[in-house]
Amino acid sequence: MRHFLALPAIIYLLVLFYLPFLITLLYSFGFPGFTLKHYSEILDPLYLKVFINSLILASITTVLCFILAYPLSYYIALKAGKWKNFLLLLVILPFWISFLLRTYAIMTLLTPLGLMFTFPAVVIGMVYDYLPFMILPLYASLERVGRSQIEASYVLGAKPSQTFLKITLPLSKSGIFAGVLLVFIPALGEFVVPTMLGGTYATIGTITWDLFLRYHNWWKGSALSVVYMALVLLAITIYIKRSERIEL
Amino acid sequence: MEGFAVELDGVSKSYSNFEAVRDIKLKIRRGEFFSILGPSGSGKTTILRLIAGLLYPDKGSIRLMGEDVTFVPAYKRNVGMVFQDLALFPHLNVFENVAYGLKVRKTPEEEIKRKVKECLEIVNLDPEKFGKRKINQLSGGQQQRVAIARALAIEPSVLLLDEPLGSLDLKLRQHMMSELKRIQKTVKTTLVYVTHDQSEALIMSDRIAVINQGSLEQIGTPAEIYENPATKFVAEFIGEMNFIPAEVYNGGLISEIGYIKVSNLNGAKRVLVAIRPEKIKIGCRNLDNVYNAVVEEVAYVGGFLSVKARINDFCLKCLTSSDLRVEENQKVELGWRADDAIIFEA
Repeated sequence: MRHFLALPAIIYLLVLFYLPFLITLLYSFGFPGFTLKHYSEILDPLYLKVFINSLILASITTVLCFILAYPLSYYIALKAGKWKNFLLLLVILPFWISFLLRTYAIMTLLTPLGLMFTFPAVVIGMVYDYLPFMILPLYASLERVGRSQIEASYVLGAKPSQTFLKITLPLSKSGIFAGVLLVFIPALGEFVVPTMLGGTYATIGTITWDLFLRYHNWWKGSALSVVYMALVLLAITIYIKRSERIEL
Repeated sequence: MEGFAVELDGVSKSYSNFEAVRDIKLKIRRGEFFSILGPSGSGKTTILRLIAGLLYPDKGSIRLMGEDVTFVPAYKRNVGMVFQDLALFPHLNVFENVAYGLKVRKTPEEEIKRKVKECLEIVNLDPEKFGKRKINQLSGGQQQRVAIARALAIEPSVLLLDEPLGSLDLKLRQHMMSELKRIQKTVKTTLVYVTHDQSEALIMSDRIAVINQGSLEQIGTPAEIYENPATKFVAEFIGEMNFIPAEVYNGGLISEIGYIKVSNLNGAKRVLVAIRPEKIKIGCRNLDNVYNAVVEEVAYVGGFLSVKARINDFCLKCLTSSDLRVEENQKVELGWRADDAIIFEA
């Protein structure tokens, strides 16, 4: 009976994720027949280019989010004092508006700047949408570092720069890890922002969307999805394994 | 060694809307076990942070080993500090925690190994057994020892401790108190100990500074502070004390319990007569002040009786040997010597 706590969510996931995924897997092998042709088609350089596009976009998004988020999270967690909760509220505030609406809103900002349908537009939109997902885990980990460990480091003779590299950064490792995962994975499969702001900038997300809904080629779309999932799984596994080892 | 380890001269520090410490003057001798004692919020931690360089004063100057360090940042001061929450580094093991201060000083590897081993041995942690352990694999008492070893490793000019025993249970606290004394004797360092616990301060210190609301009330040896409290606050804060309001009359004092004979009056018109419970003798007539009283309450406190006695409508706390047989509602004579009472202006 102790398993019943997990049951509702497991059933939900089984019916709405794993079962559809199984169907996707069947389609990728040419359901109702069996063929590997859809997979071989995906080895086409065109798709490789799309994968690389997605990888570049997700990487730039993650790096920019990190660069913007770390100082802010540090400030909120350790320096903001009584403004802490208010600043956190400001970070969370965008979530109150639908993701789609926000992306539409950013179009009206980018249009007068003449940036619409360019790569920078996609990056601006991506960073805008994913920034809170980087800030929150970083904040949570820096919050736990606490002032006294940093002060202990100072008293022991470490300069502020040494203290940051030897204490603050390593202690926020779990936050960096979570933030990178939370931004990188969805950014890799993202299709709304590139579609709306990027015009012809093709990512895995936009191509999958096209295959399913424009060309109604479920088999090839499924094959692409499966390959994408396999690659993400591989990347995350490597990332997790390496993060465990890395001593910052 | 001659001279002072720590000197605070007229140090004040305000936060945005209140004055945390005001005009503090302290001279802490080299090799001394010095306690800063006060209730929570009295500013004692602020004083410690000023000495460590984690705060800079608004007014006054601070000297360490004779050198002015008023605005020298913490990382250049070479003080050791044991934080209230210990502030150990959870991502480093015991060895690395203790070695941290030496590492950032670029001490040679061999020297670090030797020094860490020595410091762990001083705090009674086996370097072989504990060196590789993670901080969260240690008990509270062991973490305490690591924090002390880490502070000692840099051979600090002064070791600051911010209520380090607060989180320990009574038995462990008593044990760590004697350990601290032993460690201080071993390394012969100056030790500044912040606490709100008067018994800790009385037992361990060479001298105590009593702080209240940001101001220094008194500095002295434990005996001086207990026996000759300079202010009413000190008298009340350290140990138990009876206060009897009285008015000067004919070179003596008139109060609710009657006439009180005292040995020295300081010229005030309205005063408080302060008398320790253990100075009040029950069933003894050969005293300067003797009164008829009724016993209200008797509590046995292991070897002693804590007695509440009423004279007219005024209640006095007395502490007496449990050899004495007193019962509730018993009529007794009690009193004290004039020399044992302390007079404060009301």
